[in-house]
Amino acid sequence: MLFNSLAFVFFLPIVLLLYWKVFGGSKKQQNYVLLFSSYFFYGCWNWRFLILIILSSLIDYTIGKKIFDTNLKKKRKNLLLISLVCNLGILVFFKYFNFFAESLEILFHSMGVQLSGFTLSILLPIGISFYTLQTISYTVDIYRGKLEPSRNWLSFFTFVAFFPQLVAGPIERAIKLVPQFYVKRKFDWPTAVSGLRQALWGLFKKVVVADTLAQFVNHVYNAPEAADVNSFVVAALFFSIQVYCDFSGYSDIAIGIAKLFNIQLTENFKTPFFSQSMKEFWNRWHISLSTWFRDYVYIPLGGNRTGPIKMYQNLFWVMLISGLWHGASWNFVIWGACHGILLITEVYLEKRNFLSKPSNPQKWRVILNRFYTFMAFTITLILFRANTFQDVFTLTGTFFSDTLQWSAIWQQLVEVYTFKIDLLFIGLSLLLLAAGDYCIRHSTWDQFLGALQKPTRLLLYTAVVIWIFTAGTFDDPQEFVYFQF
Amino acid sequence: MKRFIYTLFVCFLITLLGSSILLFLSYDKEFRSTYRQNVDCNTSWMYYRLHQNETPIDVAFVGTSHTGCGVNDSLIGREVGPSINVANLAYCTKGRNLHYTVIKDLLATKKPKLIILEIRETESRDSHKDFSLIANTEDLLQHSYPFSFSYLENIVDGVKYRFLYNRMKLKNTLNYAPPVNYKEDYTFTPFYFYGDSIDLMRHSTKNKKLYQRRKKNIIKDQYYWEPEYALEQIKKLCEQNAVPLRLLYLPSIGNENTVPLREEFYRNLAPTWYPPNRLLTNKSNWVDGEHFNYWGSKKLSEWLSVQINSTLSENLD
Repeated sequence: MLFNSLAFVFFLPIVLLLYWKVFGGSKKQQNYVLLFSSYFFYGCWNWRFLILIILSSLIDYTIGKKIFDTNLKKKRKNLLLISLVCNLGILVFFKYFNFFAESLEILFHSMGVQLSGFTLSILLPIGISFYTLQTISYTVDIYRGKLEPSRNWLSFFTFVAFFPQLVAGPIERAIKLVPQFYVKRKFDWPTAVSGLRQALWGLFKKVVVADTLAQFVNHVYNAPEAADVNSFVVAALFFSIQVYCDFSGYSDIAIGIAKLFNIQLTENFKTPFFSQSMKEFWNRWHISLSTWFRDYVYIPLGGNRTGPIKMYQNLFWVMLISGLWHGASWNFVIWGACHGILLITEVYLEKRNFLSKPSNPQKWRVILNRFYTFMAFTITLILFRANTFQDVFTLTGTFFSDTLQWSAIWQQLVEVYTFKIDLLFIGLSLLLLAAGDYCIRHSTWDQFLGALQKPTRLLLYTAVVIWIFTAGTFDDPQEFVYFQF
Repeated sequence: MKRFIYTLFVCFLITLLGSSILLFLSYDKEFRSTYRQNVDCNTSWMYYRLHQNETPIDVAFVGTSHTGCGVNDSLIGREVGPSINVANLAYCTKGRNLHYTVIKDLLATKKPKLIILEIRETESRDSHKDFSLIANTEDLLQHSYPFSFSYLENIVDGVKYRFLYNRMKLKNTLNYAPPVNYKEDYTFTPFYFYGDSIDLMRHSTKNKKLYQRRKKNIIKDQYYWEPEYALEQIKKLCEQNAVPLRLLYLPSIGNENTVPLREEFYRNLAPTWYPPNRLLTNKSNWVDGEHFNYWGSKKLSEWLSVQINSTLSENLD
């Protein structure tokens, strides 16, 4: 069930009514509503994979309690190890088994040994990468003594399966989310309005911008042999914006919907295209993942406390693993490695004072930095979007074979979108997106809109709703890009 | 809380009102047929053939891609004689309710002498994915089994397509360009190559197993309520228009010696034509596990010509 599907339009109000009105009497009833609606939501994709979520919840709930109950260091460590092996075992089997098997086959083939028949026909359970990280963080935090185990199974199972963020994040920490299930939630009008506002903006980003740009991106990336430099450059730029709008749109809708249940989720994006370096970019993009890798991989590896060389190594490993987390293919591994190298270079240059950071930089410098960050992200994303490694070479090859021509770009756009009026709508939507992000670059929608008069706010909401209906893509709703991870 | 429920209720009412208005606004038939630009079946040709080409249709084939690839309408036309016009009105993928819509349109625009409807080993319970795009609002609301699982889904999708149509109309971006696979003469989609023998063998084994499994745990009657309701409506339509209906059994590869699992129901509906086994067993007649290639379709069409001739002469007598 997609957030931008009509089925969800029916699903959400029913769950809200059950949650607030029919079973709103106690926290237990509210949690039951959330748990069963979350399982229903997930089961709409594939009910068989519900078993995995329940199993993962059960393992970590039990092990979490046992770790807390024992003082023996070795036993605690062993229990943590069991939890990690179970969680990562499930993840590796479903997500990476074929990748590793194929890579082994290729490796042996290059040594003259023929291996075959190792790959399995496995479906990737949607959202597995997200809820696995959540459950891992729960047991690790208990092991570290930062968190007490969940008081009851219902709160913990609801934390793992909470439907707004189940399939594509934000990746929540138990320390923040579980306590919210311990208390009875009371309806709060300003929070609900704030949620609807955020969900509306997320819907705009997804339906109007991401899905519309996806048409051109898919046209180019799905037939790379037919692409030329003009279509390739536009597709690469479009994909940066598409993936941002798609994923941050999903996060906004998820956070907004959670607010309708009076549950606060972590902000996942902070206008990342206003970043002036890749380091800053990763503090503003998929924040819940970046902070997860910081707390559970980078710091345990030694972080930046073990000397510069080790720190560079740690940075590189974290980005490499982050790349692999995104997808089981060498494209993603190399994508992660590229980001590792970019980060290391930035930190190195900063340490050597090649990249001084004046407190009040000149405007041209800010623009140049933002341009660099956006372009660095866009170029590395070619690896992220290309269907195969061969496609990366085919597409980048076009860049060296011809020169850019505005008229040709226009022609390509018209070829895909057919009507000039649709291109006008795309242009205006991109302007609206930029304006929206500009307004909230230092604040939130609540702060920005709170400063406006009520009639102006209502006018803005109406305008966005009308714009979604006028310029949105409804005929071919695309799955959210991050669902595949 | 009350305010929130009130807001939800108002939003729901606005959505309901907007949807109802959309359902009763005009909805262009040409748009419906040309909307899908990348489908295998030649739907825009079907619109042209029914609404713009004045040549009558005497014999019409209605079915899925099995019919689309298997029935060479131009060849049958040549075989049965110049006075008989044959049209293959196949629409890809299963879903019986769409056939009702196609036949209704056919009977409203032409006066066929014979309608031949494809049947397979089993009926699909699902609504056709394009039913909500193609069907009139009247059919969308009325022509559905009373307890249909897809009833609401179809209406919601119907609202979506009508919304898209009206939006394109307002933006002046209605596009009636024929799809990439548009052909000007016939809808028949031939494949001029042979299926891979290992692949055909694999499909054959798989289809046989599937048939036996379905036969063993013969799914309960209510599984077929929806498609059979649509078939009964088709029968009623044909009877009202005094057009004979025939069923053509086109199973997948490997199921040549079988009869449809709901044979009894079909027997009450209309006479069924079973293509000869030699046609279905010959691997060189198939392009894949489901469809005939050009040579298979040629043989099937020649056989069909004989059946059509005898049925038409029976009716004349």
